[in-house]
Parts: sequence; C-alpha cells; structure tokens
Amino acid sequence: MGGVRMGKDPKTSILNEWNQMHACKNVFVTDGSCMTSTSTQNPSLTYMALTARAVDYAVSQMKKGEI
Amino acid sequence: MNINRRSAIRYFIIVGAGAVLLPTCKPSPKKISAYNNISIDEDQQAMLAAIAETIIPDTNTPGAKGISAHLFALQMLNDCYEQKDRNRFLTGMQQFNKDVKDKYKKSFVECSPDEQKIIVAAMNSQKDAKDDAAYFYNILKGLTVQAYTSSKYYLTNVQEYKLVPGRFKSSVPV
Amino acid sequence: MGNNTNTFDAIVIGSGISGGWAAKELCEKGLKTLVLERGRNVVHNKDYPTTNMMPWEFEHRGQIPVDIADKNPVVSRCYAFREDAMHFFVKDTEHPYIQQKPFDWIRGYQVGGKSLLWARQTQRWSDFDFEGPARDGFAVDWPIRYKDIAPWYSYVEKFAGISGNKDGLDMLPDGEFLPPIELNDVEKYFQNVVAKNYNGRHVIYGRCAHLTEPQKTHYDQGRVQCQNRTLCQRGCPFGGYFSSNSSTIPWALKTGNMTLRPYSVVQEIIYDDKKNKAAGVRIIDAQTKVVTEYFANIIFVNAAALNTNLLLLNSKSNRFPNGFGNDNDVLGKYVAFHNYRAHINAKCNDFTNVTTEGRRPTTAYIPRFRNVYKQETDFLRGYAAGFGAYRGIQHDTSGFGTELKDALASKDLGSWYVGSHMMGETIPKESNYVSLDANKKDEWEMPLLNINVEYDDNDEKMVKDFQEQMTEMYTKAGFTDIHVDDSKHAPGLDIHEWVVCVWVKTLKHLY
Repeated sequence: MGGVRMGKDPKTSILNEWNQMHACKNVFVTDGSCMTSTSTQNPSLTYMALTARAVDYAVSQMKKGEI
Repeated sequence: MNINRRSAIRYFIIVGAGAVLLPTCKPSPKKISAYNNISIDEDQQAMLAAIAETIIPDTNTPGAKGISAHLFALQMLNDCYEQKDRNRFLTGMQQFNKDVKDKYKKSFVECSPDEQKIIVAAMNSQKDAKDDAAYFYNILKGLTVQAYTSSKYYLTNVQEYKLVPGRFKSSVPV
Repeated sequence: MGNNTNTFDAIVIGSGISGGWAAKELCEKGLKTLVLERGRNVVHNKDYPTTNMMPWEFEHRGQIPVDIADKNPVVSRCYAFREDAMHFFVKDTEHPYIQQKPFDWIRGYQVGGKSLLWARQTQRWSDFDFEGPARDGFAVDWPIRYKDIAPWYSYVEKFAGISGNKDGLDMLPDGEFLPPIELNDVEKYFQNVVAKNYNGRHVIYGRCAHLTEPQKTHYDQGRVQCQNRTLCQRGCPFGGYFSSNSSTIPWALKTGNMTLRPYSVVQEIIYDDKKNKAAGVRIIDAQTKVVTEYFANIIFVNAAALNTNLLLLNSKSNRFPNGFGNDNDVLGKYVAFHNYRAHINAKCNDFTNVTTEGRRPTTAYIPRFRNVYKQETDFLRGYAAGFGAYRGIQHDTSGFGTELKDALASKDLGSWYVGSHMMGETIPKESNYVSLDANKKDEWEMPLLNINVEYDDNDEKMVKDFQEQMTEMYTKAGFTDIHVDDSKHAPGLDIHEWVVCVWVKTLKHLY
C-alpha cells in the first residue's frame, strides 16, 4: 500500500481528500497506492468506499466544468 | 500390472527345475515410460502396487489396488518431489528389494501374503527414517494413504466430501 | 465526446476490486467508460475452469508440481497458490521485478484481478485509524475522517453484501450487515474469557463479503446465497462472495456504457501541456504488442498499489519529469504493508461433546486493542488478529493393513484446535520505496520495478507483543500445547491470508 498517498498538503502528498491528484485534476487514484497509512483492517472495503466517493466527486466536478 | 497366468505357471516350473537358469531365462523388465523424472520398470511398479496393497488392502471394499494408489504415488513422486528426494526414494526402493530377496530368496511380489505382512510390519515399526529403505517405505505409505483418502471411492463412501455444503452449523452434539 | 473511436468520457486502468467499482460508478452515471485490463478476460462462471472439480479430479490433489514451484518461488509462498487456482496468479517468471530487499509481490493479471482471490474480510476503519499518523507523528495526516467515508462504506456494503454483527465497538464501526456467520462453541467461549479478563479486547464475528441473506440488489446482480463451499479462489458459480467478476464488471457492462479491453498494458498517462491536464493513456497490447492511445476527460488509476506506482513513475513529460503528479518527490515512497508473520496455535481439551457441521468462509476477529485510546507500549500502533477454533475427524495412521483401513474409516473426532494470526500495521517510511530500474525492461517496454521495502524495529516489537498477549489470553482460556511461530516471511504476500494458515497447521498436528 501507499506510494501515491493522500494528504492535505501538495508539498508532502500526491492526492487530495478526493483521491484527486494535487497537480492534475482529472486523474484519480483509488487503489491501495493512495493509502496514507495502513491500519490493521483488511483494506479492500476501504478501497471500494474511496472509489465510489471519488467517482461521485469527479463526475460532479465534470458537470460543473471544473475538470 | 497383470501377470499372465500361463507365463506365471511356466515361471514357477522353471523355479522348480533349477533356479540357476532363471536370470538368463527371464527378459529384463520393461521400463515404464510415463515418468520423465524417475526410472521405474514393470517389476518395480508391481512391487510398489503389492506394498501399497499390503498397507491398505482390498477387502470387501476397494483398497490401494482398487484405486491404483501406486500409480498416484509414482505420479506425485515424479511431479511434486525434489530430485534428491526422488533419488532417495529409488535408492530406498532398491534397498528394500534387496533386503527382501536376501532374506526370502524371492521378490516381494512372489512372497506369500503372510510373508508380505511380516515384511511390511517390520518396516512399519521402524521409527528411524535415516535408513533409505525406511524413508522409501514412509513416503510410499504416506502417498498410499493420501491416494486412498482423496480417492473418489473414499470421499463418496467412507468419509463423504460435500462440494456444496450449503450451510454451516456452529454447534452440533456429538 | 468527439467522434474518435479511441475517445471516451472516462478511462479506468485496472479491473480489480477498486477498478471494478470505478467502472460501475462511472457507467451508472452515464459516462462512456473504457476499462483497460492488462490480462485476459475472465467472465463470471464461464471462465472458472476448476470451480466444480472434486478433490480427486486434481492430478496432484491440489499440490503445486515442484518444477512450477521452483521456477516461481515468490507466488508459491502464497497460501492460495494451489492447483485449483494457480491459473489466476501471475507466475514470477512471466513478470519479473527486482527485490532490492526480499518482497513477495503477489499479482493477478486478469479481469477481476485479485478480487477473485482475496480473503474477503471487510472491516471499516474508525477515526482511531484515520487520526493515527497525526496523533503518533508519522507519515502525514489523512485528509479525511470517518464521517467523510462512512456514508460511502454504507453505499458499497449494501451492494457488495457484507455479513457481520453489530458489535457497537468504537474502534471498528458497524456497517450495513447481512446476518453474521456463526462462531462455534470454542470461539464463543474464548469470546467470554477475553471479555471477562480484559477491558477493550473483543472477540467478534468475522465480517466478510459473503451473501448470508441476499437482498434484491444482489439477486439483480445474478448472485445468490453463499453455499459454504469455501472454494472461493476458484471463482464462485453462485456469486456467493463479492468479486469484480460476479458483481461490478457485469453491472457496468449492463449499462451499455462500458468498453472492456483486456490485454491492455498501460505504459503511460499522457499529459496535455496546452490543457494542463491528462489527455489519455498509451497502451501496448499484451499479445500483439501494438501500441494505441486512448483519450478521456477523467482517468481513474486502479492498477493495484505497486503497479500504479510503476505506471505513474513511468509517465514522464515536460510537466512531470519525475513521474506523473510527482512535484514533490514523494511518489513511490512511504510504502507500507501488513505484518502477518506471527501465528499462535493451541489445543482446547474441553467441549468434547460438540462439533460443527459444514464449512464457513470466515472465523472470529479480534480488533486492534493496543494503543487505541493512547500510546501504551514501546511500539507504535497495533495489530488485529484472526481467531478460529476447529475440530475434525482424527485418524490414527500408525498401523497398516485392515487395522489402518478401519482407522481411516473411523468417524472419531479429535480435540479442538485453536489458531490465531496477527495483522499488524506497519509505519510508512520514506526509506520504504519503489523505483524504476534504470536499465531493465519487460517485454512490454515497461521498466522493471525495484522494490525496497523491509520490516523495522517497530514490527519486531509488535510480533513479540502479539505472541505474548495471545499466549496470555490462551492461558487464561486454559488452552494447552501453545505453539507460537514467527514465519519471518518477507513483506508482501498481500492477498491477506485468513484462516487457511490455521487449518493447515492444525492438520499437520493431526497427521
């Protein structure tokens, strides 16, 4: 997991809170590489939830003309 | 392997007439071509079948012979064992064969059922697998048991395997 | 979007557990979506060749032939790499990578990816997890909290179908559960022992993606109740567990908006300097080696953690000379994993008057109890654990002849055995990273991935603590013959193993 981590600060992370690239707004990463930390739980359910959430955001941004 | 009945009779006659001639009269046994990693001939294969059958006999239900356990054992040996283990198995097999012949003056296959049981009982009571023959026996026994307990016969008639259990009961009285 | 046949509204790279979800959601929202998968297509049911095979139909009864194991040492260490599912795993030899430090990289290159092979255990995160890095001062703070993701957990749980029990634990929030899969008597007993002896330690029903009581939404997907086969890794003809193949991919297909392209190895995400955004992707066909470009407005990267790193690192442009989106040199770093090294097995001499019947796809689960509310040990974070009890027919194979044959026909039960394994959090560090090899490439022109990931002192302490704490808990339960084990296996093996390890070890005791 990790390597393309989420974070608040573009200086120290690759993705924002929507799994959207800080530096390129139309690219989203929602597999295990986005994980800032791993915790102890089996991770797949969290990937699913992050993905559905990110798609919802991406499509709403697209409709607003932001992407 | 089926021994042709007439040739078996002739064979015993020859034995009766004079055992000295035997090696030259009997053609060397045919190699089994099915296995690319192990060298096994028909006589050796027959011996494995007979040992397996002594370990798990056919009674009124199939045993090692009924499910061809020795063929499974050879397939596993050929495909799933490291070369050094295969070699040790084969060395142990030859050792076993020699020990039997030294003691009984005939092969394991030729021994009577009672003699075969005595031989296997002796092997079975050995705890020390450092001996190649014991190693051979232990591997063969393990594979015979695996062949039997994973056979269609066993898993449908003795301990039933359910492909689709359909449920889990968490507490069942014994 | 345009009239070019290579242009779509959205592209999804990868069709595994997250890619399948991206495809479903994008297609449902009306976007024409191209799903690129580097491996072959695996159609639900049609492409599960071993799914209905009986044990005796496997030439080696499940065992991997030694020439395959010797050539593929990494994948052979995965518990699920057996004769019945080996066709769903990447062989080491076909897709090399460079282990600067030992790392068991387990991959499934086909439509559905590893969602066919996963351990199907599904627990929500809590704020104790999301707040971890900030509280304990490692990595960076998560940009989200539990409240941000909670409704989306509910959303995916309802569709995927998650069985579990509402336990009301603050470190493991409840979800939208189908009925739980029962614990057996020994597991319930241990649950009580732990509850009586410890504050904050819980033994709960495993939560897993199995349909214990299918709802309309599951029937609509063509899935029915889990039949307790526990042959999940072969692909399930009932759709009893959640996979991309049984669920999200056919669902996306049904919208008419999905184009699925197997054998598509994405080499690069293309950056458009004029529009300041990604234009699309360049792929090479895995079979024909023909290179093609596809374009879209939105790109979802779901190639699985390490391959996503590889793809982004390899996507270089004037704008991103160090890899796509990598303005800060963070890309490829802070890789972390789960520590599965420790196991503990024992014998339970009671409960001789009961057993179980049938099979089940999960066991009990022990949520993290270390350092939850505050830092209390000499290591950071903690571990969860699987816990299971098992009783089976035990044969005495010491004899031979009719004695042995009779023994093998016996239905006499042996003792109960219990087993547990740790699932430890590891700390993401800059020094645990992946990078592109400067010289070596695979046959699809992709640089090989260098993997530089290892355990540290925190992990060693955690292994020891798991062993000590579980030994204490087992002792309080009166379990005997306690055997602790540290496999010391390399990081990776990221198909999270579950109870299988327990049973394999238990069976070794029996024979």
